[in-house]
Amino acid sequence: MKKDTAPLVRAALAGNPNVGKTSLFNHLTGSNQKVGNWSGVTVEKLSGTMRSSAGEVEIVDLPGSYSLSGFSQDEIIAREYIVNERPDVVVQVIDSSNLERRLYLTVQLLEIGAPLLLVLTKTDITRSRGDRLETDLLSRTLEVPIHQCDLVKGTGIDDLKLSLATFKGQWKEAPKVVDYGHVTESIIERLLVVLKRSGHILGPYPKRWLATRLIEGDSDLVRRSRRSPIHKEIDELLDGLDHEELELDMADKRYDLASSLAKRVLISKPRKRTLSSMIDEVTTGRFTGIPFFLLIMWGMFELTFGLGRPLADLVDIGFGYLGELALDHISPGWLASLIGEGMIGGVGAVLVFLPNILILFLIISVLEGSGYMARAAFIMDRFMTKIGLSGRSFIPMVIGFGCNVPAIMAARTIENRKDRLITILVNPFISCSARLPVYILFTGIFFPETGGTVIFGLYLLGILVAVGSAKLFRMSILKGEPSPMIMELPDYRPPSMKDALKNTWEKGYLYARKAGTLILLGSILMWFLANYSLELSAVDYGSRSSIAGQLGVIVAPVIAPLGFDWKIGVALIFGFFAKEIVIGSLGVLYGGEAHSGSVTEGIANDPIFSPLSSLGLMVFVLLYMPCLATVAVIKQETGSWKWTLFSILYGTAVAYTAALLIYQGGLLIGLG
Amino acid sequence: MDSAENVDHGALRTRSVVLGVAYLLSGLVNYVFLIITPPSIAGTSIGPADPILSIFLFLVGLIHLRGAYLLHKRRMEGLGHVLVAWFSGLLIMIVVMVILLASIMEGIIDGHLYISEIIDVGAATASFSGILSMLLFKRYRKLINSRGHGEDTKEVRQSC
Repeated sequence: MKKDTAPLVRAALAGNPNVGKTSLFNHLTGSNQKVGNWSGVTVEKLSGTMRSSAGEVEIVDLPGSYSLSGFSQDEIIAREYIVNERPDVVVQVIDSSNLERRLYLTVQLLEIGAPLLLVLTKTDITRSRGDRLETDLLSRTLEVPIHQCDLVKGTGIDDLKLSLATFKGQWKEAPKVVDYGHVTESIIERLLVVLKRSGHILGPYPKRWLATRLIEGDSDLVRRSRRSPIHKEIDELLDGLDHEELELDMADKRYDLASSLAKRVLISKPRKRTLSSMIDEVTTGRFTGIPFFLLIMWGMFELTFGLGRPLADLVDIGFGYLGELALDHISPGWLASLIGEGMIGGVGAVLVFLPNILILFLIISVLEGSGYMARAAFIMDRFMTKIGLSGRSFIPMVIGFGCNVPAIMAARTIENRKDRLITILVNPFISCSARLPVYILFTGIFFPETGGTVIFGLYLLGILVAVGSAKLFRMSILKGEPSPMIMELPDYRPPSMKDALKNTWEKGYLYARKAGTLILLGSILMWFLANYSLELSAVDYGSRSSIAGQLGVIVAPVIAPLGFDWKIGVALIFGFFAKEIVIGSLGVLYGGEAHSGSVTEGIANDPIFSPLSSLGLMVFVLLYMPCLATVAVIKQETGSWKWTLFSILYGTAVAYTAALLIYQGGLLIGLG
Repeated sequence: MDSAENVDHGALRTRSVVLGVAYLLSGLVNYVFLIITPPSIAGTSIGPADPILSIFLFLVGLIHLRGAYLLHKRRMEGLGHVLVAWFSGLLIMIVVMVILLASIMEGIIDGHLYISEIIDVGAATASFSGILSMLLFKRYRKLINSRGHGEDTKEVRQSC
């Protein structure tokens, strides 16, 4: 008989940001999803299967949200999944060290009628403070099962697995959890009559919850109601209501309930000043916050450059040797050239920087795990709100140091459309890890003594251009007020080296995989273009008569004022597919020229390059059009070709202007 | 964790003053060498040719002194200042040490190792302060390792 493998129970993990949902998801499903000690790590729902002796459970990790009000896209994702998919159990992860605030979402989940199971995390913190949490009382009061789990040690997970596999909860249609007072309740009652009569015309929402959201002026639901046949009856009931005032009042009522619950079940000791808050006096201080942030960034790039350089040299020597070996021992000549100059030259030029990438990601992971990254966002928020921008834009910027694709997706957490659009448009200016090899290559050749400082300066320049562009958009094409930011600063904690190494390994693996796939293909293509003419006859490798040469000749006049020649032009064009290909292309073109497999020698010996032109090139690579994957995600997130095209053109125009100013300005003052 | 009350404020204050002065002097020495770089050590990997190092050494020195002042005034946030300055000093020391070692390693790989790659004023001064940090704060290092969990996760409302 065929075994039925369909999961028996579907469970959704919900909760506020940074309470440990993804950690719990990893524990339950054995996955390796990224975990961070700051909010907004998960912006899309992830799913996996939990297997236990009692059966299988499909687990869905929802983005962190403070409420089900649907202010931002991640909150809407969480809400819509819970309501539309109606999972068999909604597991709310609650950081028990901050019970009162977490219970607000609990109240909303109960209002929506979800079959709830609570998982309390960070109970060790509660105990270390000398507080006592009456979990049985909380469970009896809310009438929901409660589990305690230590997500660091993994205790309590087995019991939770058993509970989930055998969970027997039911959705409730219209539970009355909060009493909103006489006036509001009477409007709810009248709305309920209309909504019950009309069935699920506005969606599969519980009717009482739907009524409360309509009173609160939920823009999404009000829009739907206006398109429905019952809009006249609803409009009549909602007419003249001050939605904003009512929303505040109803939120207060929910907070009151959450607060009274927390007071009943949590017996706390008087608080002492903590080390985290004392450290924050400096790390987020008015005068010390930004200098400390700069110190951390400086240290990060100095270590990335300084520690990585000798390691990169070793890898470079290895690939150089392999390239020479291929050229000397493989026949026929074209195959030797394809393998030695094309494949090894191109892929080697990118893989040489793997040590630097690993070091950078290890440091970023340690900073994320320690809780400092949230402070970095907070410090920049203060700076950004001062110039009229939303500080929430900085969190995607920090993610952009790794890759702009998830960073642009992280902009979903921004509720205001204009703020979100600005964040998406400026994010490509944040220097992702794919651009780092270009900096390391050129600083290594032309700024060997101050490489770390130059790279640090380039990253800072990226941030400044992003912030400056955001300000420009805010003043011109996307006018409006920035939305306020509410963010939680997690306590500092010693970073988990296991998580940090895991994140680093994943990033390094992705980089190496890209080198073995996309970059390899790009290198082969580049080798072909550099070896053959338009008539498909073999020509001198990397000469002007090759297809690459012809292509480069077309763009050469445009980029000549920047101090770039046709080879750089070709590398920049191919860099659109992935920024690493800039290096891969230079590796093919210059490695071949030097016939040593070493791009460094080829570039160092080319008179077109000088410290000034290389600085211009690095700035151009930092700022010019986003790569193909980023362009695709910009289209996906903005839903507009107009903004996607704008991003490409604007980035290229800014890059061109900046490189032109650097090169021509430098020549003017005699730096050439 | 060690509560802030358990820390010997007097001893911490004195150490912080000593370190603050040491870091300020290190920054000053770097700055002086920045202006009058002797030809024999020009071209070192990070040393006197890097003004940013001077700025950060001054910064650490100032935070140490501010921490000492706050502790003198019996204000608890002084402890945070001292710890951050201590950590920053160590970070600077690690960075310069790593770069110095990397530079030596690179010299060995390239087959030529110049004396200027070993004698580095920046690395020497920053390391002096960093090592002093480690020696003086040995007994307080456990504060860094302890978990500083907050009473309530701080909520920061901005521009509301």
